[in-house]
Amino acid sequence: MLKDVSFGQYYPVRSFVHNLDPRLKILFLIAYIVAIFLAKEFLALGICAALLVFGVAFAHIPAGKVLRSVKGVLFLVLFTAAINVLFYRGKTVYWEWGIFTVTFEGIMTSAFLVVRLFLLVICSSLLTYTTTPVALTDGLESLLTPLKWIRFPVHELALIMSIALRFIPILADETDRIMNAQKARGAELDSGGLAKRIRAVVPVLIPLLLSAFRRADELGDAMDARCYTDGKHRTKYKKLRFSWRDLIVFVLIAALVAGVSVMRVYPVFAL
Amino acid sequence: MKALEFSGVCFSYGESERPAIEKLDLSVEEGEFVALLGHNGSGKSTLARLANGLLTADSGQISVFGRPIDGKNLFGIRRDVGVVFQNPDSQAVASIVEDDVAFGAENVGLPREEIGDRIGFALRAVGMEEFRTATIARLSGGQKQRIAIAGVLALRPRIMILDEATAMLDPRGRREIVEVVKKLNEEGITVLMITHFMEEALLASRAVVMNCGTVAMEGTPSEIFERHEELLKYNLVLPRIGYLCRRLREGGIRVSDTLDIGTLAKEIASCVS
Repeated sequence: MLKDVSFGQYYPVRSFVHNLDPRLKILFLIAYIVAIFLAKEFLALGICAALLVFGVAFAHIPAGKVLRSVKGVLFLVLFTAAINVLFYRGKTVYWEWGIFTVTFEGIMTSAFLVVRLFLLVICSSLLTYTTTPVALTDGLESLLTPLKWIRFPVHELALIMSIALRFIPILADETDRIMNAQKARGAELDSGGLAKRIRAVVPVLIPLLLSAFRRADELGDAMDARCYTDGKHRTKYKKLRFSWRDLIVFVLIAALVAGVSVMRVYPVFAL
Repeated sequence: MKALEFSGVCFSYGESERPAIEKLDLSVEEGEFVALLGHNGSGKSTLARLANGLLTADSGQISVFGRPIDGKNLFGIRRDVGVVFQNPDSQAVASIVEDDVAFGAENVGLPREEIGDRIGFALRAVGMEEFRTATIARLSGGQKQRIAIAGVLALRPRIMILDEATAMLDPRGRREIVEVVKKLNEEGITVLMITHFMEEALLASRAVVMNCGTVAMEGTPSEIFERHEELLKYNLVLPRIGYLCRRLREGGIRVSDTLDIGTLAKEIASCVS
């Protein structure tokens, strides 16, 4: 289960999308999310989806990898969709039982919701697949630079984020190991009622927390030993550059947001 | 010139606790390869942390190339004294090899082109050039430790301390690290290798045995191994093959001091024929 943790994992290949400026990729992600929530009809959403399919194709990310990122939220999305279908009050009623009603409008709304959430997850993971954590945090640091004026520790925040991203696979591995160790001592982690399962998680969480602290300590020493003091005297090896590629994608995304906004006001097919 | 010198150093972690380092005198010459042996709790890791200012001595003096460590010159001291730690998974700051190797060089504020050059130099030195853009999480333990060494090398230290850097590796990873360290020493870097593997001590020009926070034995690795009864007192056991070498020699068969089975087998074969 934990081997599937794909969030925040960089997929190292060379591609058009990998080479985009991380600052723009972060802004694109925000713009894209705005676009999919502005989209009110399937045509608009379809255009968003098509753009994302192009994005994935240009990023040379295998489809399986993309689908795996969706798998993690599949249950949550389907659960939300089911609730929506059963409780949405619409005009065209297909089925009714007690407080539950299934209506045409309900089905449409939840279908929308499912597509939106999937696009959201795929787009976010496209960002992390194609951007190294360092580039991502460099981009974020650069975007948040104005906050330095109010003495907000932007550099420290960026470093904390990149370390957190780096430790996800390590702690996932560690969780696996601790779970196996507890199972070997007779812990039942996969059976019993909900309350019992929650109680069974405690002996996994505590060693995990302890080990995270120990690792933090060791990493702190290793950073000190490599002359880390603060962000003030540091230089950066990688410099962020804006290129023609970024311009193309910028135009595309701007067009998308504009198009979707227009379609919101003048729908092509009214729902 | 003395690369590293401890004189009368004492250190304890807490007020009430037994001191981890007690009246320690030790000096390492420039270009030397010293193996530091000792059982758990003998104070060897504390010594590594004192040597680059991660810990501050309670009393006594520690000097690096003649400069005593005080609170003000830590930055310079740490540029000269690189430390590689035990756990391959908790030393890297970044997820990608080159970003991690760059970390130290970025910290000291080098210009960008220089950092690029140093990444190349450091990765070449540990034989990992082709992994420059690889994800660290996908590397083997030995490769991760070689990246850790490269991260330290990017600062161009004059002394390299390995604090049980091979303890969590498999035999192959251990061999990789030992070869890299040997090569670095031949290129002029002073090496202090803290280990509890006796095999690794054989590579050193001098071996120091620590016990209860102070130096218990000192000499060439062969001399130290010769005194194996004494080693036992400090909870250090010579590998069986080491005993075999001794017994063969006592029996008049001239074999060299080795802990490598292949070498010993060849030597015995040449004696017999």
